Amino acid sequence: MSEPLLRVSEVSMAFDGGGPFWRRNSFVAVDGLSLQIRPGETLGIVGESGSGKSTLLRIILRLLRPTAGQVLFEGRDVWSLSGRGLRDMRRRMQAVFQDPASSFNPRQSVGSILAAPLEVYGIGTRAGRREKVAESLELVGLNASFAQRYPHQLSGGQRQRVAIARAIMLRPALVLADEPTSALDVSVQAQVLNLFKAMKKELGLTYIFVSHNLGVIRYISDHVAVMHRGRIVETGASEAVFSNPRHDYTRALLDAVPDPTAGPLGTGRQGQRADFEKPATEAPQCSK
Amino acid sequence: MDQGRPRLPGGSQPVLEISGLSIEFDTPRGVARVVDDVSLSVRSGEIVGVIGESGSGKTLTALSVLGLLPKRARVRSGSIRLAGESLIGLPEARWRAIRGDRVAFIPQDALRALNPVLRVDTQVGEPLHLHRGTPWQAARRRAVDLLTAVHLREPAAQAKKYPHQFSGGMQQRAMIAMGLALEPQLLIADEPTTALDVTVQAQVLKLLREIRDTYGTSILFITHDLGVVAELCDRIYVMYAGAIVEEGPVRRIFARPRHPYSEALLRATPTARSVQAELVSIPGQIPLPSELPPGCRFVDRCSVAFDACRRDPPPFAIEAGHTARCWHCEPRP
Amino acid sequence: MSAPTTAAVAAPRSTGRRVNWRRYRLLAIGGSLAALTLLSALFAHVIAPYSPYDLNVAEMLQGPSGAHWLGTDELGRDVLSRTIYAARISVEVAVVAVSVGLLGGTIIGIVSAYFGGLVDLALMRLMELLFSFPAILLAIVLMASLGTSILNAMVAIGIIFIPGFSRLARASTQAVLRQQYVEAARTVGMGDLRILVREILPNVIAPLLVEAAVAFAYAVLLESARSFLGLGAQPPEPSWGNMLNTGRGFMARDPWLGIVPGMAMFLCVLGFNLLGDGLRDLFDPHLRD
Repeated sequence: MSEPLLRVSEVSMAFDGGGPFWRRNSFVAVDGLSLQIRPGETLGIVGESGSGKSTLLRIILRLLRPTAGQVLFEGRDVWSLSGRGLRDMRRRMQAVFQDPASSFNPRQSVGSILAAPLEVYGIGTRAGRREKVAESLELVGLNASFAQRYPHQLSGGQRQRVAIARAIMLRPALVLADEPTSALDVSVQAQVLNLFKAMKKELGLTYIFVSHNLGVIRYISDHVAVMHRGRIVETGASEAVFSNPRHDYTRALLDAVPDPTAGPLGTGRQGQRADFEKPATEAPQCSK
Repeated sequence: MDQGRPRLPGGSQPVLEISGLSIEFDTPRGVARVVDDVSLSVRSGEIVGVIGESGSGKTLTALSVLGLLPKRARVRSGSIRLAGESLIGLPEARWRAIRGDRVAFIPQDALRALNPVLRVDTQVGEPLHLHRGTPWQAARRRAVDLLTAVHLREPAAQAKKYPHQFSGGMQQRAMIAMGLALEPQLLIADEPTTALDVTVQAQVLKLLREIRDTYGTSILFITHDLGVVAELCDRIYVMYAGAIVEEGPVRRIFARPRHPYSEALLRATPTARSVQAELVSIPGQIPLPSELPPGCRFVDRCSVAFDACRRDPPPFAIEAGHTARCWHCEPRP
Repeated sequence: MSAPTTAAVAAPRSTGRRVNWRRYRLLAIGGSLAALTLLSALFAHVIAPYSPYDLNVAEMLQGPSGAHWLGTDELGRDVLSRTIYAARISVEVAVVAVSVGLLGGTIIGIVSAYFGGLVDLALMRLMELLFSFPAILLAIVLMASLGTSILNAMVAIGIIFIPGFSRLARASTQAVLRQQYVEAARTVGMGDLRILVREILPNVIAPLLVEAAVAFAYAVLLESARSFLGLGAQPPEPSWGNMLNTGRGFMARDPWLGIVPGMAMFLCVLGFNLLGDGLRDLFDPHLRD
């Protein structure tokens, strides 16, 4: 039984809710939340807007200080670290963000953006860094020539690949992804999700994947945590939670998801769905 | 909602008929045909979905029905008929009379479409004031009726509020109420639920179905979400890179998609309700309108392409009302 | 409606640098006039036909002629040459003033927005204090306290510009801070200084340059106002301001003495204003891509 890579303990985050200064309201985004994740797992956090999932992510990344509770990464409280210790921690925990449009400095080339993490940690020489950048680009399925391009010249899918490349530059242990495919077309989303899976296998990563899209979470996660109003209402192995939801909210969420395979034909479709698993190199549909 | 105007009996003439529509833009690389020979129709009381990813031309097609194409877009050819009236080349005055009255638009981002400094009842009642000359007091009262019809809770009280005080779902309901104000024959909804939470989305879809069932309003629903069309639509058109590649009843297409793109799209969509071994992604990228491959536009990404695909296939009929633009569907002699 | 615009612009997705000459019109006109001013200042000794100090009382108050294109003034000096040389003072003062303002304002604005809290509060209140004084009055007060040397005058005008630049820098920085790439930089482990220089500064500089062009024009006006009041360049040094002042007395019979420096000032200020507009047009649509 391996040590949890990350342990979030009774974390709460209250924001200033306005009002007169003698009677300030507070808005609780995250409420006494705990979770842990073991090395090699993919934890999916699913929730609607206002559930606090993005706030939780920022707390884990040490971008936001919780009003209560602790975040322990590799056994150490992230807020007890500073200087060298903090930088070492950051190196081991990286992130992929949602908005492909604003995740990159528009004035920097892709190569410069990818080399930045290496520069911060003084890794390699300029030539060595260039090589590592090219290596990372190839790993995410982009030609090394992309290093010369600028973010606005890339498509949404290409940008997210670069975002993934940036996250893995320092070979972290944990990667947090905040709705990384929400802004992408369906076909591109599939490419990026498969890339996430491939990277995990290739580099032995651990993931925390936040999304409001249940289909995406079901596809990518081993374990899932369902968030509602700052709390985790249900958690467990993905398959178990999705096929047999126990909490009312989880059930409501699943019921609300419109699904191409569901509908009046019901389970009959599940059988039909299996057809889609066959590779497309078979005889084309129409001639059957 | 009272029966203001006599309705066309269902099925006699399509509410909307688009025929061979092509729209072009000038770009530095030459002329880009962003909508290519698109034909679609919506019958009375039907909910028709147009599915496509970015660059498919679905939004531009919808906007052409409202006369809201960007200035640089040119309608190259084709016709658009709304309840028999031709819409191409209409003068702006006639467009203004039609918009809201015969065809209403529900945009994706309700908050941005609402005026932040006007009360909700004022805005929802505005079409009545503009088109029917209803005085403001009466228009606002009607607005409350409309907000009730879209199941807004405590409509009388909420109507006096401002858009930013509404949640996303409420804003979208307000937009729908505004769209229904003049009892249009057609509602065009452009990704109206994409920005909403999934539980709120379910409610809005239910509302749209109810509107069709109760008032017989036809709906043209533009989206990229396959799940949504499966739940809501009767018939769908699948668009890719500016053209319609498959059309037909939604159940048929989902059960057995005939065009490789429709099938690939289904396979690439993650679903929450069943186990999925693998999402099969489509290799390559959607081509730019100015860089379409010669022949079938899907040829570079298609896993079953063969030599006939060097020519652009016409739509082939598979069964009644179901066609696909793929050489594999060419009827054998 | 953003949906159609996105569709329309998304169509030519990559670079597609369409050359729209209309966009460069302001930049071209403004740039030329600004360049004219700067060249006059730098190469006055080469361009000007005469020395600005050469007295020739015999030829005083002559109208425009072949020998003196813009006539002579009350001491027989060539008006054209004096006008060209006068550009020097204006440009000198403006360059120092704008530099002081730009540097000071940018640092204060960025630091204010980045660190927020008390730092922001304190700095912005200080800026508001400066801002609340009418510029010319403040200029005079500063010069009275700092001394009337030319350098002090330039710095004084520069200080007047700091609040304006700082507000702009602060607002731009706040917009940048909302972008995810700043957050991303922090997760990668970048320190504050690096983030300020690499991520924030390059993205904030554009509107500041636009403002700098306009500030340049204003600085020229302030300097001329000062000289007009007799507080600036002293005779026999020519400056547009003091030439205007002298020309005032001769408006009835020898109007060119007042009109010429006035026109020169007008063209200079117009040029830099248009340059600012042109720069703004240049930066905006590109960034919107």
